[in-house]
Amino acid sequence: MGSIQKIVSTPLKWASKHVLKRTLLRFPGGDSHDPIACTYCPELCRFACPTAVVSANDAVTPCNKMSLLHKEKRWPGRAADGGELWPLYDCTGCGRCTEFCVYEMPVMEQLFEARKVFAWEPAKKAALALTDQMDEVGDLADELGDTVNAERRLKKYSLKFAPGRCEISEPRSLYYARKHGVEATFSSEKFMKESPSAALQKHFSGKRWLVHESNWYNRHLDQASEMRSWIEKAKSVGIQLVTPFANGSECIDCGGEGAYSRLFPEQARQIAVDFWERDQHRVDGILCLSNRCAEHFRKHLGNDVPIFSLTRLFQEQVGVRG
Amino acid sequence: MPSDRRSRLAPHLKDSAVQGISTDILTLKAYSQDLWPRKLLELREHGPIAEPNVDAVIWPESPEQVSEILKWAKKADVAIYPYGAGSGVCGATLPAPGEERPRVLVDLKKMKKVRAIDRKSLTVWAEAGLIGENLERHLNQEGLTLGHFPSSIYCSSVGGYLATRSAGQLSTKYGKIEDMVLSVEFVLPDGTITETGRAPRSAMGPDWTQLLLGSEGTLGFFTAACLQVHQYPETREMLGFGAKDVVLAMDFSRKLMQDGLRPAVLRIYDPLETSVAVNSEVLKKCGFAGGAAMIAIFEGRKGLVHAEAEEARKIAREMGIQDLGSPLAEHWWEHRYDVSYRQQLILSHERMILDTFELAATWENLEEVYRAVKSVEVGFGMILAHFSHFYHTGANIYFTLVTHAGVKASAVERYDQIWDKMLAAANGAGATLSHHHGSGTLKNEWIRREKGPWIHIFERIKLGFDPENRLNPAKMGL
Repeated sequence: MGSIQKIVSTPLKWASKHVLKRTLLRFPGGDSHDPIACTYCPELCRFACPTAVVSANDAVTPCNKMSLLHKEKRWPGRAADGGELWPLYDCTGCGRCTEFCVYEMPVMEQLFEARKVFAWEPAKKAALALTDQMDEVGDLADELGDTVNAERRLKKYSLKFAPGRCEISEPRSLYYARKHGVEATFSSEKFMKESPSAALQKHFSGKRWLVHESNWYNRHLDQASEMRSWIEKAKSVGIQLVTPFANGSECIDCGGEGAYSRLFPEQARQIAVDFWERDQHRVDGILCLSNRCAEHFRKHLGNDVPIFSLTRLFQEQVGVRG
Repeated sequence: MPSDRRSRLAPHLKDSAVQGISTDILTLKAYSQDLWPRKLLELREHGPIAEPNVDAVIWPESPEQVSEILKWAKKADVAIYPYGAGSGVCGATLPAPGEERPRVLVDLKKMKKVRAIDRKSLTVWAEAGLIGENLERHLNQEGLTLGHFPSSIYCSSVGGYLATRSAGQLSTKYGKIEDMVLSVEFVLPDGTITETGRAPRSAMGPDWTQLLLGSEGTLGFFTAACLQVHQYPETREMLGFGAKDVVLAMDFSRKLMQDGLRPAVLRIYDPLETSVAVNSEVLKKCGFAGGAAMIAIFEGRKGLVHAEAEEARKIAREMGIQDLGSPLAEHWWEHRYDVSYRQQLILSHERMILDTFELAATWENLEEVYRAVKSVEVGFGMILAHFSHFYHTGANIYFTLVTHAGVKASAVERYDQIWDKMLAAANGAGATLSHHHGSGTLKNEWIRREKGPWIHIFERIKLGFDPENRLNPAKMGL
């Protein structure tokens, strides 16, 4: 009897599992990156989102922001309710939520794209306030939904270089340029591969530095291992680098690398202050990869905290020639 | 009427006590639901709500601000809803439809500091709005662990743990939240800021901390807690077992507990959940012979861990339990939070219903409770079960309902019908109707049935704390 049961039940089990995999255990339409996934998710990315943590507002959890996209698609007009979908703009683009999502939902990509469709008055104003000098490559304009200026600036910037020789110093700008087909390299690339020179060691000696990595370099440009490798090289030559304390070893945002601080200045300030306050008892200053991050920290932490940008130091050739 | 409520609230919004209060429509809508699956079914069936359930949201940053808000609430005559991370699955933060006072939700997530760590006593003072994962990461950097790992750890807060009497996946060793708390900072409805304890135990009257835990925001605000922490474990030993049926698995677990073993993790998957939800490749790799799969994980100091693990294996041999080695537990550990991501997979499909029901019973009643709930008729679907929190005297069962709503009925109505049947079955078999999710709106009627005359005692306690019934009214069976 037992063996007959087994003969009957084994193919039945196999068939039902096969059917389940083809139906229930995949998202409708088979697209696990459709925002419907976020609409019914228990918000497992909540802890990872710097803007959700700092604002504490449930309207800006990555899940809620994404579910607005689903709702607008499924029930047009009802999510916005006649207003503007401002939460779509309350995202730094850091990508940490994607890192923790089992489905690797591309939240930043979808939200930034949606900004081109769902305008928000403060973003328009912030885009208008940008000059070519402030946004050389155009990525900040793009983030604010201003594609016209973004494209114009990128073209203007890339024309400065000979074909295939375009160099960009900001990871966030580099990501944007590459996404739009410009063959560009990171201006600090060769320095990142080398061990810090004697002059650079001297520059940092005697103090402990809190390392602020770049989300755009680590995650979006997929250079986390390059960054970690440079940190190890720096440590091995005696530069005292300390990784951020409270949020584990992943790269967390400071609020200043992209356009976020232009839309939510108070929250961006708070993210920077929180970042510093969690670790200030263990370090003497901050070392950022991105110059924009360094400027953001300087603005909000004042002159008492030594803050350096690695890309700026490389640009200025500090310690490069040793 | 929402518009009446809002017009009554409007003159009070400029008060300095509620600086930063928001009436932004998208914010209010975001706070009009927690993770109660019924609300997700409503969304799927009817689309986004036109009118939010709450009229304003505020984010205090200190217990003093909470106190000011509560004093303001009296002047403004509003109902107040304490709110953590909104990951409750029973609708505990949702205003009752009949509440006519303006509804103000007080979100504590800006209170997110780790105030102090006492390395000698091994305690941490953590603020109520701190997300569990961020607290755990902070402690890990100090070489410590809280030992509290609910599957919602990424999206739940310390305050929520206290308000619902939360339990984590490693609770069999580290205890539930009520075992971890030495003291709470609590703001009473009149604005008084209090602290409940100062020592590991006290016989100076009743234990007020324990009275407050699980009160779901009806008695006041948890603003911080002093929690015991542990040294980060030196080692972890992973064990897997297979029992021919769920009854043998229960007997094995009872034996482990009553013989004094304390695995950090102990889980039994009933045969259906084993076949549907446990990774079949891993089971195959372990040579699983069928029935109920089990995992046990011991952690702590090496010597103790090895000794306990060896004892567990020995008991298993004596009881005819199959030793599956470590792969099953290792796989579970790697993916221990992934199960939460299944929710959206199922609920994204029109007409599908998914929910979980966690209860507890004594060993004497456990099997009957298991059979009673499993035999509830759910139509084209199934009820899976696993056991994941164990005691000397009994255990918890965690049921997962997955079913199709049928062709005709509203999914929400069908959901309510099935819940009524499951609750009736469990209640009849002698279970308590929540082990760690709490009562909320979902079980508001059933808590009256389970508690009997004690609900009237609680009513008096509630009115003693909150005579104007201002805090999370119409909850806890009231």
